[in-house]
Amino acid sequence: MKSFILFKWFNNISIAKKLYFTVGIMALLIGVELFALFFSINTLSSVRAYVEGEGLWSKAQKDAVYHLLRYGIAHEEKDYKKFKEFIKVPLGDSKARTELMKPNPDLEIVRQGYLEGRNHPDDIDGMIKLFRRFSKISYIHKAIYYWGEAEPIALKLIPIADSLHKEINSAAPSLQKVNELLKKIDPITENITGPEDNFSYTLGEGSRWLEDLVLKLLFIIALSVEVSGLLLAISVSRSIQKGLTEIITANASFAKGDLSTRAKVFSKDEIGVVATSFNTMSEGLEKSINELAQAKRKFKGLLEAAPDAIIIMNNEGLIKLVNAKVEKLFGFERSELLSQKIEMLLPDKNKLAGIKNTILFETQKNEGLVMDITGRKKDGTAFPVEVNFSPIQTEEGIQISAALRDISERKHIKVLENKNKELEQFAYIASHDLQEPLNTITSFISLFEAENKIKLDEESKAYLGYIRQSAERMTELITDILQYSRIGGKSQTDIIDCNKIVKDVLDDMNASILETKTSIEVDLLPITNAYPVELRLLFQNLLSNAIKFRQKNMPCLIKISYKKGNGNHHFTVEDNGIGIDEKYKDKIFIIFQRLHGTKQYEGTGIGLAHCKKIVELHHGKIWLESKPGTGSKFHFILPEND
Amino acid sequence: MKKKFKCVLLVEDNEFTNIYNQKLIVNLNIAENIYVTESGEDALDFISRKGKYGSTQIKYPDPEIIFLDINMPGINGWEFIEEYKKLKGNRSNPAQIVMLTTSPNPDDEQKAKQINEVIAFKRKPLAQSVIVDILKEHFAAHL
Repeated sequence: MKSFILFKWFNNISIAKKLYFTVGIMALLIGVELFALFFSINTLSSVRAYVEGEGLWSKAQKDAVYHLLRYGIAHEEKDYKKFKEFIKVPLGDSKARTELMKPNPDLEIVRQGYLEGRNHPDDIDGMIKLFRRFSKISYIHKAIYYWGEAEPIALKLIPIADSLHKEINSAAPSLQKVNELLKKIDPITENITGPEDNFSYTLGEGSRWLEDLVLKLLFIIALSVEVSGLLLAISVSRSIQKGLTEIITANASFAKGDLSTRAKVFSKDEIGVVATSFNTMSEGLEKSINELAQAKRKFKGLLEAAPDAIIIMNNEGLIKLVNAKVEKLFGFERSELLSQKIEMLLPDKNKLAGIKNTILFETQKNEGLVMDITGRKKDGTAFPVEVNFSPIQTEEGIQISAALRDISERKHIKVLENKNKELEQFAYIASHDLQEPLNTITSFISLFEAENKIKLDEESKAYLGYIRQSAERMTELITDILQYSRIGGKSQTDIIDCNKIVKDVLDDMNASILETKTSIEVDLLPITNAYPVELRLLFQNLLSNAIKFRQKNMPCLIKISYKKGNGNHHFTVEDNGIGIDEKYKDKIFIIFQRLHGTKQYEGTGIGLAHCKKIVELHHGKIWLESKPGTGSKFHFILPEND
Repeated sequence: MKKKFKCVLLVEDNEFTNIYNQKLIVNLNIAENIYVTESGEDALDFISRKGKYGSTQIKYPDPEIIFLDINMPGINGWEFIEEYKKLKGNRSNPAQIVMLTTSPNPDDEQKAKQINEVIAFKRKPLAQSVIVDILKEHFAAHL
């Protein structure tokens, strides 16, 4: 687990750090190796010092023996001194050994001892260290043991030498005694050789073992340096290669069009950063490519959903794109149109150059252009189209979009509207011009009657009366036509309080209301946008009709109600009058259509035609609900927001 | 003793209407002179004494009351009023105008009310009673 975390950590550090780390590890291992080398050399050199020490020791011991023997024979004091000198070496070594055997040795005494043992001062520290550090290692232990064994034997020489010196320096030295003492020396020499050899041998063996150990250690360390260096190098280079290969593969796959391709991020080092950047970039690219595709789909969708037939062509007039409405409008299949010249949809080849130039000129100014031109269907039929040209910037340069609308219907309606206007104008002018001669007739009849009252007989008077009445009737009719044709002609809508309109109408009609004892009930009416004069006329006509067609034998009741619904103002004018037969419910709204003779009910029969025209002027509707004998209910609705 | 108009001017393109209106005024005996002009241009000439009224022998009087038809070929009633306003600028007693129409139109009536010089807006044919009503309101001394 820990190693895994370490691996992960190593994986995620930068490549530079990885290299530093690798070099660092190598340096550390080399350091360790150097240290081991240094330590082994030191140790070996200490072993060598002991071997040398042993040489010195045994040489000194032999020299001491030699000089002691000489002293015994020659009795020369200088030999005794020499013995003293040489025996100091085993003594010094003994001093050091004895001190080192103590749990807390005084190293000064040890050093002193070794110096006295003639060891080289530079070797002494190493010797102390070896003794203390490796005393438990069998070779050293054994050597120390042999050393300890040899030492007391060698030191046995000192009491012999002392006794010898005493004897020789005595007043009468006994040769026999001297010889006895000298005889004691030989066994010592014999005995000491064994431990001495053992010591040397053991140390030699120890040093070989140590050398072997050190060699093995060094080999292992060197091997581990190489292996770890190699491993690290392989790991680093492999991780770099793996990361790079992943990025290269992902890149190639992305380039081939697999937009969802992402590079695996193996680490957080530079390669990882590059992979992450690649992923961010490809994500962004994928997003924009998808958006582009979406925009394209949206564009196609819009193109198809547009209410117009849309053709996109290049600036040479070649058709690049059409929607389904174009196929429907012109009767061509899409495939028949694409890459064809726009001319195939236009009948008038002569005008084409002009149209094309205008389009190119206008669209180059980056402005739209609306033209009414003639289109040609596949079957050759020509029909009027309104075309809205606009330039569009594309990667292929400026193209031109043409939105086409079949305006045959509109043209037709326009013609009808114009005809209708002409008719109204005609009615207005005709009735005005008809009025004048009528005026002349009536005015001169009046004048004639006034000036010839006495001269005329009754019959002539009656005839004149008929002429005058007819002329007056005609005047009435013409006035009605005039009024009818004038409805909504010039006036404008305004915010109107219907309550006030109705109140004004009722005020105007007060005389006839009182006279007929009519009672009228009015709901609260709305405030709305309407033509004031016309709306007033509407209420006036409906109310005066309700009074006019009342039942003679009962009081006249009128109710104006109002309700709101479906965005409409819904008014009703209800009466308890004579009512109208169901079969006349449409006819009554036609101008001059009357259900009764003029003698029964006066009037021209234009009132309800007026009402219908006024309601239609407001984009509303008027209709009747009625039963003969029980009353009529006129409904009309006016759109709220009109 | 009742006052009489020194000059009544009729502006009307229909000759029968002129005859009739002239007859009514004569019968009412309210004017010393009745002048008939058959178009707006003619009437303007009369007022500014130009054209056929530019004679040095006869001095045409300034009209006190004008009966003006709205619908006329050439200069119509409204245009006549505009021109007349320009002419009367330096006159001490401008004429009062009675507008006459064959087809009464509420819009026209509203328009007429906005003009100071117009004292009445009446439908044709005129009747004696109508003239009497106007006199009662504006020229009581002439009755």
